[in-house]
Amino acid sequence: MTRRPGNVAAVAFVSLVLVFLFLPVVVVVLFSFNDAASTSLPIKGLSLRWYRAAFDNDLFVDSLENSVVVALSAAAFTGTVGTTASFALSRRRSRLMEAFSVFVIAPLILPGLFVGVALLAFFDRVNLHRSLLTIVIGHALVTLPFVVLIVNARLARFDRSIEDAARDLGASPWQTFRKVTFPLVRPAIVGAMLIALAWSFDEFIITFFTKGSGGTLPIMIWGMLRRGIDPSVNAIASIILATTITVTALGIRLFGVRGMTR
Amino acid sequence: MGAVPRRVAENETSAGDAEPSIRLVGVTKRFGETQAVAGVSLEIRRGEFLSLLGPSGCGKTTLLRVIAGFERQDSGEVWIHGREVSRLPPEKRPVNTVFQRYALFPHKNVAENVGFALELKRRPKDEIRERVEEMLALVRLEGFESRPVQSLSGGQAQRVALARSLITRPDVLLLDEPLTALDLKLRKAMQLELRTIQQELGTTFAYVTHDQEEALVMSDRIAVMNEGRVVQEGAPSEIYERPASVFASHFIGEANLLAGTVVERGETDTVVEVDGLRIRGPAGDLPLESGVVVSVRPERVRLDASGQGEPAENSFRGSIRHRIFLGHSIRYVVEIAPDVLVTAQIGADDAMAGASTGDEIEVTWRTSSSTLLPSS
Amino acid sequence: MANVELDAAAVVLSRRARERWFPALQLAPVAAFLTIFFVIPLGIFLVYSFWITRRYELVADWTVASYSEALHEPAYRRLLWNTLLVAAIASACTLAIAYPFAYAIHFRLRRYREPLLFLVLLALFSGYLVKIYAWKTILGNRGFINEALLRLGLIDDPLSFLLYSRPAAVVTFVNFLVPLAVLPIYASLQNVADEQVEAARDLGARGLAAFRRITLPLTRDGLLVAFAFTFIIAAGDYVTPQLVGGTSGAMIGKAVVSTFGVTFNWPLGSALAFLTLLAVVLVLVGTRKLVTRTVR
Repeated sequence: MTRRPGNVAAVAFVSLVLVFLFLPVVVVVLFSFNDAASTSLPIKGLSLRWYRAAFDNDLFVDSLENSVVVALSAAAFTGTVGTTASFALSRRRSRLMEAFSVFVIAPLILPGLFVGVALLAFFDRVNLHRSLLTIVIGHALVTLPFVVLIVNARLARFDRSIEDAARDLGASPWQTFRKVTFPLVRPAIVGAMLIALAWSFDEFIITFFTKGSGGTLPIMIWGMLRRGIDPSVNAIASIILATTITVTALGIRLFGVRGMTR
Repeated sequence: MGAVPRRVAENETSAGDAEPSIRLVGVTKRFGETQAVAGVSLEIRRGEFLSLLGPSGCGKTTLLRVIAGFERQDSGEVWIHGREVSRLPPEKRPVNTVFQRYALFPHKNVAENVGFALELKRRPKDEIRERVEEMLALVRLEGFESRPVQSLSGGQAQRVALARSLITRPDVLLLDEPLTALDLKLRKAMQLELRTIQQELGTTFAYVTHDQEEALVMSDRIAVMNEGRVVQEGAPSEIYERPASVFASHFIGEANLLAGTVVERGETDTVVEVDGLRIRGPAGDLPLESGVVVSVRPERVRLDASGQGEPAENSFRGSIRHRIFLGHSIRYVVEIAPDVLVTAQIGADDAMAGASTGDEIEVTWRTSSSTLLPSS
Repeated sequence: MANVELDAAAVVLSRRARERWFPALQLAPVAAFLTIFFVIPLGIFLVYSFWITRRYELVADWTVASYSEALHEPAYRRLLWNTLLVAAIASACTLAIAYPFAYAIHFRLRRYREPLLFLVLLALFSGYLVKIYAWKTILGNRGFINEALLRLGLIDDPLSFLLYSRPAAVVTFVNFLVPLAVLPIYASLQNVADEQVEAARDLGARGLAAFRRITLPLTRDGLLVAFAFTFIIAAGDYVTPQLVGGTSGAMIGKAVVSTFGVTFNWPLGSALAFLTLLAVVLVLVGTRKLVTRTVR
């Protein structure tokens, strides 16, 4: 790459923006290892005491468990239901299908506050007791679009002639799906489910309205923020970050960067 | 390039078996506004290599897909080996297809691709391995078993696709322009290879192409298609020498096309008037006063300077407008009357090869070398 | 032959039936799920805005009282106006960063586009609540920035306007909205073929002119989509104004939450929410009209 002033400026700008984007992440992680009970400089020593404190906290363990259960359930649900829908949406392009795609994405377009409050009103009206299940429903609503988008993008790039080839050689439609289509689409499906997992793990606002007695990690953090300074907040937040970043990175690797940006 | 010997004569089929491999009766197919196939009835004989030849959009690929079962025809019948198969899905039809872009399974290696059909039939692993080896040897790709398909060149991928479709020894193989993606030299080599394999195995090949030279080289018979219909079928020589329409004439090889009117009908020839010139064509039943097109291949047109050449029924004086050097031959475009141009093609070592633009020359051709086609 | 006919008929029936009903079957679960848990709840939510509460009980007395209260109460009007303002500023700043960012990647750093976009996606999915909380610590009186400035001797007292203020809300919004905005802008940039820009240069358009006449119009839709997403999210946010907004950065989300959670005045909360939605839609439609007319 030539050292034209335009390129140097581009590199500088892009780097600066990336630093800005990841700054909060770095700060939180940094302070989670801070020996002192403060969230300001200087950092005097490094220790794992806040992590230990977190794991000693019963509420943390419960919330972590709930977060994992909810995330896995939401991902499993949207993964299967969303993939099935994607296959139908990408096979036949029609105005109806395009409208349906917009319909699926709608929960993501509205602010989370809306969705959460509407669900609250609904659960109240139908007397559905709020619990982990209601949280999962809320998470499923907003992660379904991701699954559908990602799997759709993969299917759009899928060369259908190999399915014809399989049928031609004697494979029934089900055999074709099992031996040819699914193995090739599977990475995108798993990747999408991982994205759903990550999103669910970090979701706050809808959870806030749909939860019953059990809460998730973000809910716990919120509670801690309202009550005052508890430095183990950084440790808990870092745990959430570590999970979402790792899971997201894995997911993106599976469906390819092009899968979301084309 | 000599002609590849034909395995069976035109009218002969294998040992007393009169049932054609494929029989299409009145097949039509439309897509929305377009009529892709507008009534095709065709027979493909056992063991023959038949090409479906035509320009893009003429319906040849659609026809192939109808035979394979990927498209359902709107009307008409499809018979394969005496069975009407319209209701059978592709996996139940006794035909295999080689696709234009090979459609190899990207997540499987060469051996897994080639053995796929047998795997579906649950044949034992040893048998599959043996047959895969056999097929790879047939297409001259020995040792390629564990190669990933992404690492194959165009020619290699095409051969894997061929091996994959032939492993179950189908009676009929459909090929959809399989050589289009290859470069010229490779294409010519593959043409001969395909033909050899076809003859060795005795499989019926239905071959789709838009390349007329390819069709001429490889086929036992050619079905020329245009706008969803078969406009002519027959052996390559027949189609080349006796095109039945202006389209066929124009599409296969090159031709001089002179439009005029029938003015005399005789027992040995027909006289056509073209822009004041009297041209003699073969005798036929075209009515007087009807519009006709005289079609003559350039290589049948001779040049004569001094009237010493062979006697020919058609002989016209004109001046040379263009001289085109083609390496092995030379083309002369001669104006024999205002706006009436005739192209002659002679060998580079012909006596007349020295003639140049502007020279006065005589062009001649025999009546039997030309065809009269009804215009439009 | 008769058997074949029967079998064939069965196959045809199931094949035709399959072709028509199968996609419907595949879409049914999603359709049912969305209808039950999205459409109906929103419907109920809307209906509530036309009811009232009497002694903490919802009563189906159809009225627009809540809407009129929401519109006439000056506190709510101020809040709504502030919401739209902050969201607009946040969106504008986000686009001001996201557009050059996407532009730089596409035109100058194309070789590194995959790792760079990977990082953007990663940033998008790496937390929301956590980031807002982080900014609270960064911007506070004893946070990163103030400590650094104090140590460097550039200031004597910590800058208190950094937190609990409108700028704080804007910075926080921009931080988590930029990755989101980059995606549609980048997608639209890919529609700008290099040849088009080169052809424009060839015909005499210098750098800025080529951008204004070719690149910008072609990416207009990407920009509009990015603006819509960021504006909606910012306008409807609750956590950011709560944690870092203070009074000047207060937004309507807080009012909705408190009417639902504290005063149990669901009709009012619902009316506020839908009014905000309406306002947002009007802003978006207006912006779209303005942009399509000026950017051509």
